[in-house]
Amino acid sequence: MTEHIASTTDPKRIRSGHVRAGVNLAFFICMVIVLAPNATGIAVHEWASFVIIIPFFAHMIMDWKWIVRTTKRLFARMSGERRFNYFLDWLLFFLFVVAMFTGVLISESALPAIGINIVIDPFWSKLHDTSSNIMSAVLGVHLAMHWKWIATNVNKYILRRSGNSQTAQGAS
Amino acid sequence: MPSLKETAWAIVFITLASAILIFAVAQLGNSGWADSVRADALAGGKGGHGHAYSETGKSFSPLIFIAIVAGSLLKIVFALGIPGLITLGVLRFTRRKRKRSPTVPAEN
Repeated sequence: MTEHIASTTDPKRIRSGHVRAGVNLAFFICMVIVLAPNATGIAVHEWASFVIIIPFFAHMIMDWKWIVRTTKRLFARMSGERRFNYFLDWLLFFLFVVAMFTGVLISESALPAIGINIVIDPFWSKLHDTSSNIMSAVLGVHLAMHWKWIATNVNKYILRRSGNSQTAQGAS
Repeated sequence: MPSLKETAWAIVFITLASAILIFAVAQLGNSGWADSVRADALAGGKGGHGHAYSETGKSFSPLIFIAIVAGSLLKIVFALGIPGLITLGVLRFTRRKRKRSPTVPAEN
């Protein structure tokens, strides 16, 4: 994904950059919490899985123009990297939705807490484990594909290293 | 930042796509594959998760607790890190190869 930020002196661009970096950071932190149920416990795992829906939607909304633009040009001339990114993102979306759905079906803490008691089906449990394990690996690939953007924005917004502001470009 | 209209369309589309996907995955519950998984689970004497965190009434010593937490985080590091590093290596190789190639496909 290539998104050129022509100038970071534009306050709108600066705010947009901050918001995007913040949303993605929140998404990543939520994801780490959700992917470590043995460390956090089942209750935190399940409630965090509901909370993560918000940054999940926000992440896709913020890149909606890229999604639409790439979909329209899918059969046109496009770099292999961009095409790969597109299909990888669809795979990640699929795995995320499957993991979420199956997670709800095997809820042991969150849903019982609101009075919905579920009989755990081993099929959904296995599908949940499998989809979330594969999602972890695909997420690693996704993060690597956007590493340049991540490194640039971590330096800029989190470590606050002042550099060439015009090199703070969007994800590749 | 996307406009309100773009945001609304995005939410509608994402929700619709998720709903279609969920409907499709839900059908798997009635499949032969699901029945065989359930039969295997019953035969193996397993029900539910079988994860350590779902066992109630067990108290762990601080060392074991730290080991569980560290192990869990290490699992994330490896699960994300190894595919990520492989991808970075592949990207580096392909970009270097593309720089040397005379014809480069246009980005964007």
